[in-house]
Amino acid sequence: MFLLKVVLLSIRHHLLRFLLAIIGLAVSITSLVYLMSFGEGARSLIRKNARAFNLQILVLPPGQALSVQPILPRQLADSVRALGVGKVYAVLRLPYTGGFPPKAVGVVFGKDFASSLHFLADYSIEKGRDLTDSTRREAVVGSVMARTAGWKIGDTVVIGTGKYVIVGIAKAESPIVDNAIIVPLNLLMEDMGTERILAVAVAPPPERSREVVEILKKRFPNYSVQTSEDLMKLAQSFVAMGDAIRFGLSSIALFVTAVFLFAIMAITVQERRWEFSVLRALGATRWFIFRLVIVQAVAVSVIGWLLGVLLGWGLVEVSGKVMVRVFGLNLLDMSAGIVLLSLLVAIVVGFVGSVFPAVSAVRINIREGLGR
Amino acid sequence: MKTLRAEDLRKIYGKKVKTVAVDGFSYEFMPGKSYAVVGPSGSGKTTLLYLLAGIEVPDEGRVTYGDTVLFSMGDDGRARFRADHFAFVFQQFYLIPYLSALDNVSVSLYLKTGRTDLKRAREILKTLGITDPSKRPYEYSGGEQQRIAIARALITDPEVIFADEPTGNLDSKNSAMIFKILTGIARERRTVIIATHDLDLASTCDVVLHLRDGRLVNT
Ligand SMILES: Nc1ncnc2c1ncn2[C@@H]1O[C@H](COP(=O)(O)OP(=O)(O)OP(=O)(O)O)[C@@H](O)[C@H]1O
Ligand SMILES: [Mg+2]
Repeated sequence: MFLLKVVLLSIRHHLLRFLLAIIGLAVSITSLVYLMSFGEGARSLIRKNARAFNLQILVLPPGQALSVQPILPRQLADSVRALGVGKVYAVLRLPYTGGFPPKAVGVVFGKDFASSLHFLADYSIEKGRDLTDSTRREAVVGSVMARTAGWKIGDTVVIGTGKYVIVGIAKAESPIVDNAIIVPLNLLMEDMGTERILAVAVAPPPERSREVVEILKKRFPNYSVQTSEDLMKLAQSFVAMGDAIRFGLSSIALFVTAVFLFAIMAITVQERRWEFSVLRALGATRWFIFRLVIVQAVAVSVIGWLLGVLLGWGLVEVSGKVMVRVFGLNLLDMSAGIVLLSLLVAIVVGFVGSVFPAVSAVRINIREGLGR
Repeated sequence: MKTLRAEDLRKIYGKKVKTVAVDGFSYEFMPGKSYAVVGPSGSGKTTLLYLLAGIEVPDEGRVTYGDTVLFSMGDDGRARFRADHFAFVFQQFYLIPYLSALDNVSVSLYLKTGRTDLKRAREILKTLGITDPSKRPYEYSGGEQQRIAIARALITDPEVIFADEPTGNLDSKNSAMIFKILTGIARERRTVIIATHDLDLASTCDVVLHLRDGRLVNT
């Protein structure tokens, strides 16, 4: 405690100089926290969606993990259903951007009335009613989508060449469904001028899921059979790749800060030669002096970290709110993991920036330090 | 009773041009006595004090305190030994500028025990005439600063106190006061060794050692 007090008082003594280091650290920690929050946000979106979606197995076009073009024949759904491996759902979706500049961003889903599954994910009707008829040009929209686009029940939504009347507002656990427009599958196919679908989703009885994967693989060797677990892993690995890139970007700022801290600590140690020599004469060991320098630098970086985390948190909150207003979903999430990671990074920067100055402080000749 | 014994100490500085700073110094310092080391500038007073305290390493000879041979220990071992048994007072006071008088005094006890004792620090400062110990060093006069430095030396209850020209930066009134304090400390069964230029003040010590060219000339 006394040591910490001494260190903090000595930081205050050279406040201007250390303030520069603290600001440098705060800025680079802010950028680290902010950039890493994107990955964390994406991960939590994936988790929420994975929890909300019932299906566990997808039959996809050969060699594909995530399809964007509908190239599977619709009849494939019937062939899978004939196997009796669980509930089967024909998947067709397309991205939706409404207004200019884009106000509402989401996904249009086809509702497969032929399936015994209600929908890909659970949702409840918040206002109005659900879709009831595969031949009526009606739509259910997610609550967030309705809010951002300013839609009410009775409004018309245009998808490609088709027009749909909104009959219900849906609320769901999944952010995707919250941002969805759900219309009858066959009408959507008609509007898109296609006879094809993106994928066939299968929800097997839980205890049979392993077995069903094998059955599907054997039966449809020319298609790609993926479990939702595989897909989640794939999505996570994309996020992890992004994490690495974002971490790399922020580490440039951190490196510069470490060099800066090094320069400041080197100057400080030079200036305090007599102080360290006095302490040595009074009985301080070399290890004590080493620690004194390291603790000082780490204290500086932890103060910078504290500022940086607060700043980053504020930034994440504000831009999260803006994102929700503009896009209807928040890609930013600041987890305890990020806070801890950034603390660790700050401590490492403090250590790296001060280890050489600390060694030079240890090497000071006491008599020379005291000035003869 | 532990004595501080120097045996044939020799210290040479410089590689090309060699200066023999201390040349065959032998002496035994007793507890309860104050010693003044006098001599012209460059006669080796400071070097001798640093050798006796284990701060500088001699080229020849040895220093023993009680049964302990100082230079059989490593650098950190001697540092710990200093914290436990010795104390130092400097000409330039060398108080840490950003710490209060109280914290400055606490530093040496912290080095010895890893703890502070503010009550004790306050008491010692008070007996030395520092009643407001919360100010920082520059807010005190030179004489007060040196008394704070003496308090920093005394709080660890040291057995040997080294003072290198402790009155070099003080006027005569303050100098006399500091000497009175230091020689008084020796009465408490401590060894006090003071290097000084001032022969009048030196004569207030129990023993005066004359150095010339690093050699003890007479006592
Ligand atoms: N690091 C060093 N390198 C070279 N020579 C040194 C060094 N330190 C001391 N000396 C020399 O050793 C001799 C003794 O110096 P020392 O400082 O012990 O004398 P002193 O009696 O304390 O002098 P003063 O009264 O001026 O303080 C001097 O000639 C000095 O120049
Ligand atoms: Mg000297």
